[in-house]
Amino acid sequence: MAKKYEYDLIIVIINRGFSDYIVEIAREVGATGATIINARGTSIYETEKFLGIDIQPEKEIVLILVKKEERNKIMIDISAGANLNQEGKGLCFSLPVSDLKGISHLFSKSKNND
Amino acid sequence: MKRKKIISPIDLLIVIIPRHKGNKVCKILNDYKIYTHVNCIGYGTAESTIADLFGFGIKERDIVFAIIPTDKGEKLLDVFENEFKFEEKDNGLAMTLPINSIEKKLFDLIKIGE
Repeated sequence: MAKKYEYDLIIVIINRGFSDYIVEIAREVGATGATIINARGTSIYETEKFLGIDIQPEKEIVLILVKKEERNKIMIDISAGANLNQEGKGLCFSLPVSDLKGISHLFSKSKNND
Repeated sequence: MKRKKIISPIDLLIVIIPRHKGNKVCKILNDYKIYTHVNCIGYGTAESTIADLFGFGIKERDIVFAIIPTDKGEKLLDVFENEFKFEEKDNGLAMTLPINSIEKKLFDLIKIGE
């Protein structure tokens, strides 16, 4: 439960096909996994027209649940590794999690390893 | 840096569960008179990069997003934890995130449910 451990949700929106790379970077700095949703981008800077038809780029949304104290490092490494500071590469932001269920098995696992 | 406490009457509920169980989540939300939800299709990453490369261990997921009154959040998380047995591995998780602004029609929809 989040009342004992504080968590943040990192959301990365990148071009289709690059989510594996993002997850690999996140794993290297301590994340245990991610959830990926397919999406399409509707930004006016990315939508193009071809023969009168709007072409919207395919995107992937990567959700990564991390502890609050690890968030900064993971976001810095994801931004640097995926070149998110360059135009059209994607974006990354985080949201605070006020309550959480479903990670208790991770704590019992780490307790057994101690 | 001291984190400022966010006080919000509305939360974003995210439930990540195995594929085809999203409808059950939506049914539970409807039972609690919450009608502002969407069900997305996604997938979870495998436990290791090698498993990802070989394509096994990747788990299909349903991700349900819902806008809920904050006072229902804790109760809903308990209901989902009991219903989907989150304490076991790979059964999913659920979290609430604070929302600091919302469009009026959506707010009215939430209040209608109350």
